[in-house]
Amino acid sequence: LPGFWQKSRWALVLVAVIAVLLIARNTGLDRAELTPVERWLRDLLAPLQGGATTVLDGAETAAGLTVSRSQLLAENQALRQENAQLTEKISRLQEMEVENVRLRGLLNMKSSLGGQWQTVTARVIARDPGNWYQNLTINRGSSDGLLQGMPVINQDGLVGQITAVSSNTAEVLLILDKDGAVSALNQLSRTPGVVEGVDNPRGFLRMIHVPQDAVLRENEIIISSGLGGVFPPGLRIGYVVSVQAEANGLMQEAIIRPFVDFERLEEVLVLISSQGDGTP
Amino acid sequence: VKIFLLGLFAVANLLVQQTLFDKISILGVKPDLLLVLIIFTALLEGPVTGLKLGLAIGLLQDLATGKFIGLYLLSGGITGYLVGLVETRIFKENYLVPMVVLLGGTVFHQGLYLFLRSLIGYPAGWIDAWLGVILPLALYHALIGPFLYVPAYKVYVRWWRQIG
Repeated sequence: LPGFWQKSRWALVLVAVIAVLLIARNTGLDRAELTPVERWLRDLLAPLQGGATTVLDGAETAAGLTVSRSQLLAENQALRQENAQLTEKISRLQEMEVENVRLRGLLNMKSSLGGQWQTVTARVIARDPGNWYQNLTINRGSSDGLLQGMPVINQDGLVGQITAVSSNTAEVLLILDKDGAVSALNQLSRTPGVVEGVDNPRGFLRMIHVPQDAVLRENEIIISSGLGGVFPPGLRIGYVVSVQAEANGLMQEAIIRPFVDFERLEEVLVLISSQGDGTP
Repeated sequence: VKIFLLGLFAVANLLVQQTLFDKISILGVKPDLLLVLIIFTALLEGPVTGLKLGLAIGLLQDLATGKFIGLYLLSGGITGYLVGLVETRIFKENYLVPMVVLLGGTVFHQGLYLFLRSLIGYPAGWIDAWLGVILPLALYHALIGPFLYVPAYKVYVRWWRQIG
C-alpha cells in the first residue's frame, strides 16, 4: 500500500481536487437548501454572533464614557462617580433614542406597505467573513416563518433577499452582491434596467441594460420595478451618481449610490406575502 | 492541545470577522483575519501545518459563507502549503517579512479563489476584482501585518513552541 500511495499520490490529489470542485459547483447560488452541517453550524454560531454583536454595540456606547472618565481623573472622587453615572445614563438614553428612531422608521415603512405584506423584524447578527460576497445573517429563521426568496428591506429602502434559512437564522443576499441583481426603474422617467452590485467602486451599484436614448440623469431616484416577482414594486434602491455608455456602445449604464447604509445596518424587515403560501 | 487551541482561535477569529470587521473596512474592504492566521502559521510552522490549517480554516470559511463549498478549502490549503515552503528560507525575526509575505499570500489566495470559481463556471470581472478587492485587501494586510506579527511571533517563541 505505501508503494501504491507513492506512485499514485499526485493522481489521488488531482482526484480529490476535482471532487472538491464538483462539490463547490453544486453548492452555488441556486441550490434549494443548506446542507445539515451548514444548518447546524449556523444555529450553533447564532447565539455567539448575537452576543458578540450586542457586546460590540455596547462597547461603542461605552467609548464616550471612557473618555469622560479619563478627563475627570483630576477631579475629586465623588464628583467623578456622579459624573460617570450620569454619562453612562446619557449614553444609554442616546443609544435608546437612536434605536427608537430606527425602529420608528421601520414601523413607518411597515405601515406604508399596506395590507398585502406581513413583516417580521429581525436583527443583523453577522456578516460574510470574506470580501467576495455581500450577505449577512439575521436572527430569524424558518421557525419564524421565513423562507428562501423573501424580500428584505429597512426604512431607507431595499436591502436584499433571503437565500438560505436554518431554524433560527437566515442568510440575506444584499443587493450589493453581484448575484443579487434587481429589476429596477427610474422613478421619474420610468426607464427600466437591471441594478447589480459591483466590486469597484465598493459599496455602489450599477444599473445596466438601459437603452442609449433613455433619459437618465444624476441624482434621479431608482426604485424596484416589481418584475421578476421577488421584490414588490416601488421600493427605493438608490440615486444616480454618474452615467456612461456600456462597453458595447448600444446601451448605457449608471453608477447608483444605495439609500441603505449597509455598513451600519442593524435591524431589517422581512416581507411575507399575506396571500396564501407565504412566499413573495 | 495545539489543534484545540488553534481551532478555538479560528472560531473566535471567524466571529470577530463576522461581527466587527465591517465597521473597520477601508474602501469597502475588510481585513481577512482567517487568511492572516493561515499565512502566519505557515510562515512559522512550515508547509505541512500550513496545508492542514489552510484546509481546516478554508472549510470553516466555506461553511460560514454557504456558497461554493470547497473553494476556500482549496485556496486556503494551497496558500498555506506554498507560504510554508518559504519558512526555512527567511529570517522570521525580520518584521518586514510578514508585510511582504502577507502581500504576496493575499494576492495569491484571493486570485486563486477567483480562478477556481471561474473554473467551475462562475467567472469574475477580473479588473474590478483586482482594483476593488484584491489589491486593497493585500495592501491593508501588509499595513496591519507587522502590528499583528510582532505579538504573534512573541507568543509563538515564548509559549507556543513549549506546548507539546
